[in-house]
Amino acid sequence: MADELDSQIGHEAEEESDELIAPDPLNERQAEHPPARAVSARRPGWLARMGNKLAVRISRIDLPQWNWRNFLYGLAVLLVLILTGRNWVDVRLDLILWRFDIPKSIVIVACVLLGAGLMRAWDIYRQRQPAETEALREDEQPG
Amino acid sequence: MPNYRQIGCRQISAISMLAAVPYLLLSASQDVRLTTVVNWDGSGLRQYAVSCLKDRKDEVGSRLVERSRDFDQERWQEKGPVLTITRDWRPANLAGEVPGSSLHLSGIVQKPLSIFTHYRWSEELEIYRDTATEVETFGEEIALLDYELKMPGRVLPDTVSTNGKARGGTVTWELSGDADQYTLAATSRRVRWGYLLFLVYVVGFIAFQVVHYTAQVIRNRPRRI
Repeated sequence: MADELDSQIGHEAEEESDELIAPDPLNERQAEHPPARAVSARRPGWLARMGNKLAVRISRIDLPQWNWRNFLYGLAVLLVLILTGRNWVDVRLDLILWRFDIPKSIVIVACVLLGAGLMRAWDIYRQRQPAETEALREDEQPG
Repeated sequence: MPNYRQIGCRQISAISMLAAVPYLLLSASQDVRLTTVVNWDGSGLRQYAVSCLKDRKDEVGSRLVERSRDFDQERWQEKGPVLTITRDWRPANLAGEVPGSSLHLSGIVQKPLSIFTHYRWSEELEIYRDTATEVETFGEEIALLDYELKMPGRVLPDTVSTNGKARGGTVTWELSGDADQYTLAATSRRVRWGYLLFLVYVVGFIAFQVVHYTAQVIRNRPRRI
């Protein structure tokens, strides 16, 4: 019975260790130096198991490199965040019968989105118009 | 014929060369609170909140409107026998539009190496008697005005003018009707978070590149066998 239990625990531990040390085919260094396959006789607790799973998942995350291109993207995002924070000051809007206070950043973003939406609507309208006029011309042509 | 001066497109009577509060408004009300919110960009909020008994609403209302003609938002709230009238206004340039006030700020242009921006608000406030009779001015020391100033960042307690109580970014003064004029001033400072974040990001990237390059050079250096 004790042997069965030992072998069961050993088997589970091996399974877990397999999961932990599963070699990534893309990682050449890991392939060159495979991790030790020795397994502790003590079964790890649920906290340790959760920690190990989390560590494995975190180690699989492929972070972007901090090169010039990503630096400039980050800088652009940072500038947008800073400007949004700096313009988080209430302004009063007066829309005929509706008067309310709203942060300036939201007004700026809303205006930009409104402008972009109008431009997109104009583009769609312009794209449709030639097709419709062409179809009309084809209808008008005899034969 | 009243004497007027022109500020932008608005006309302000000569009595408003200083921000003025009528004494009769204080004496007729239970509680008068004047709040000034100064934003980091120089805009702000000016708000009167006046509580009085309902039977005095016409008198108080007319005196309040007289002193806050440019205020564009008004709310009335009744709670039992007490009526609270709130009127406010959000000028884009607070110091330029509130008479007798000034706002000085030492920004990134004036002090590029400091991590703080300093704001100094100063205001001359007048409590004027107008048509108040001797009987009406009898209890002038108990006719009170609570003035609240909200500044960007944290107020420096040493810079607050007489009797002001500073707490965080707010200063409060309790002004009584027995003085004609008050000078209210306070300085606050605000950490330049955006500026610091920008610097940390750029310097961090430069440091990272230097370390990365150095490590690469060391790694690629030919080794002696």
